[in-house]
Amino acid sequence: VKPSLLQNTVAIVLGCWVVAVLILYVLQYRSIIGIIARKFGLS
Amino acid sequence: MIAAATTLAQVLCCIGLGAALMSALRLSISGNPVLHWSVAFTVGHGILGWLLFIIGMAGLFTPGPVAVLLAAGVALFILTWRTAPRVGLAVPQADAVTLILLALLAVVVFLDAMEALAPAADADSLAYHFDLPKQFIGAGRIFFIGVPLEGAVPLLTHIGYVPVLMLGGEESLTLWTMISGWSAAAVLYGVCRIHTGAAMALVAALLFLTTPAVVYGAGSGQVEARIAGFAMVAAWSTAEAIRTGNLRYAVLGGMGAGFFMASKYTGALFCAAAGAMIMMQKRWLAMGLVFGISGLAAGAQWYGWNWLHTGDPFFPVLFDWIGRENLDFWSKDYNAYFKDVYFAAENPLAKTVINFLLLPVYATFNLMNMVDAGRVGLGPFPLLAAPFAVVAAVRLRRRIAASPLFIYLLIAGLFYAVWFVIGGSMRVRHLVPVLPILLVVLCVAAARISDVRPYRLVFALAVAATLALQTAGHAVFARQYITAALTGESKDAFLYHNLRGYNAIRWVNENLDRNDKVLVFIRELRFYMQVPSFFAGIVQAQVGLDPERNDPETLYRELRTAGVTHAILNRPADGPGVDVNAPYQPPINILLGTGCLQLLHRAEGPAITSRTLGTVEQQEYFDIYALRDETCLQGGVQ
Repeated sequence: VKPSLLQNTVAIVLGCWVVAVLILYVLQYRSIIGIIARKFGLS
Repeated sequence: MIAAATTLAQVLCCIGLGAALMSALRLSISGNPVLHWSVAFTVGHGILGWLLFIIGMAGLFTPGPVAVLLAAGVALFILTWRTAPRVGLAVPQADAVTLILLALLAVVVFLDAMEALAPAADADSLAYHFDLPKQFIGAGRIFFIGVPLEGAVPLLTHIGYVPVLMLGGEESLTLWTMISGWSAAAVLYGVCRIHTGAAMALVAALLFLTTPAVVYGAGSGQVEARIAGFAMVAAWSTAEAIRTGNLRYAVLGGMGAGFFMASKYTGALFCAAAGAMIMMQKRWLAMGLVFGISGLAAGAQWYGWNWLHTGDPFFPVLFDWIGRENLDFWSKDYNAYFKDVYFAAENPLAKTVINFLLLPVYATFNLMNMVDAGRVGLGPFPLLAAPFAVVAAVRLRRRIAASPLFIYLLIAGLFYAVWFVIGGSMRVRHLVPVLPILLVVLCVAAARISDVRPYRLVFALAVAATLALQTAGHAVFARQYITAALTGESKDAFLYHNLRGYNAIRWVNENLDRNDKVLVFIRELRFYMQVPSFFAGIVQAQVGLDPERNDPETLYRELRTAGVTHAILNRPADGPGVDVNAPYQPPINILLGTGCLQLLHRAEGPAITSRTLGTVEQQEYFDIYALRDETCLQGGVQ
């Protein structure tokens, strides 16, 4: 079923929320994530 | 081999005990084998803990009675397996997504197995989760340990470590923590399967298994991941009791909540939350009575035990008002001091409405000095998925009130509210027991709106990102264990790199005996020490070590009264004395000045600040002293 305009709008809002939370999460834990990346030879 | 066999016997025993109870209650979960057997295991785990409490009280913590108990449970398993109604063995349709999730599950199982095959090294586990069962086994019985937080607390889950440790040794114990740590994920999968397909149920289970707090605690002796199984059973049974009006589910729900209560004080709050929900129906009196009696029967034993020995069933929470006056190990004055220090450290947030609403945000992003919110927090998923649940709630608003998900949400929400207001500690990790309940709600809500493709894609992004981050963290956590397994590292070598002061333990084990007692300030030294020890933290009132203390004679006599003969002290790298960073430095330095401590040995090892991240920047030094006879006091302070 083709999503309605409202559903597409809500999906965009949800997408922005998910991306924002993920960016903040990664920024907040960047030091640990950096150590993890180094353990796997990624940086 | 013996270790694996013992663990297997305990697993089958738990399933047998739980399945027998379900059979007696005539409860069979047809068409959902994972839920049926995982509920049986979880309930059986609680029953085993109850029976071990009786055996321990009777002074029968010896291999014979414990082995008979396990054998009886295994016999019940065989009996119930043969006679259980067919619950079906439906294999989920293995589409590409399900196969990817199953592969990820295999990775998680592998990482957990690596941890289980290595020696235990988690600090809290070595300090008391594993050390208490070791002490009980040594004594052949349960005895009261008059120490708050790590002795005089509900110990149902800890008692479950006794059979595996006694009959199968340390290897069996870590295998048991691995398997019992999976139980909540299995129940979570089973409950999700009632509402969704296999893929979404696998997503929920994987999100739980890779949550930082679960990775940290499930494979060790920490109890929260195991308690999560009890909470999940209680929530599901409560919702079923309300849906069907069947009192048998109220029995099971009460027992699940009671086993939570018997494993941790916060379980009493959970009992209140689940109990309040089961009262919200027409048959509130009968349901409430059955739930309450079952809960008390399953969970009140350790509260009675504390009441018997201190006058306070919630020792030391109510000690100021109802505690006994004549205890030699605790006083009301010290209780007030202890509560001031402990509550200040464990409650970084003021209990305001704003903080109540924002705590999940603080916990997710490790803000406001939340304890345990960082490396051992709950991950980003609850915050990521919350708006999807809101969208589902709006879309399905007419069906919400009749949905079991609504019951789950209210139980988890009520628990959170009561925990926030009157819980003793705001450690984020203490919310792990209700995390699976929340995950059911979030994942099923997302599934309910997944017919809209854009919603489905955005949710998939949230899940994929969370699982990628969390599984990477899990892999780093397990890295040291994988290295140890691949290189065939010995137990001594592994513990040297993973346990502070392990060389001091080795010296003590080789040179002292059971007639000695060692004063320790690093409590994780205790489990591997074969000599009795005395931990001089704030949790004891027998030896006063506050910085203002300046009377060496009183300190000396308190140590003697506590039976201390030796001490392990941190020393600075560049000279004698006590590390200036040690909180006990002033009084111990005064005692050193009297010459009452005679240096016997100096041990060194890596100063470990994080086992997982491998951050060892320098060496750490420990001095082992003997406490001399009291003629040392006659010379005065030198």
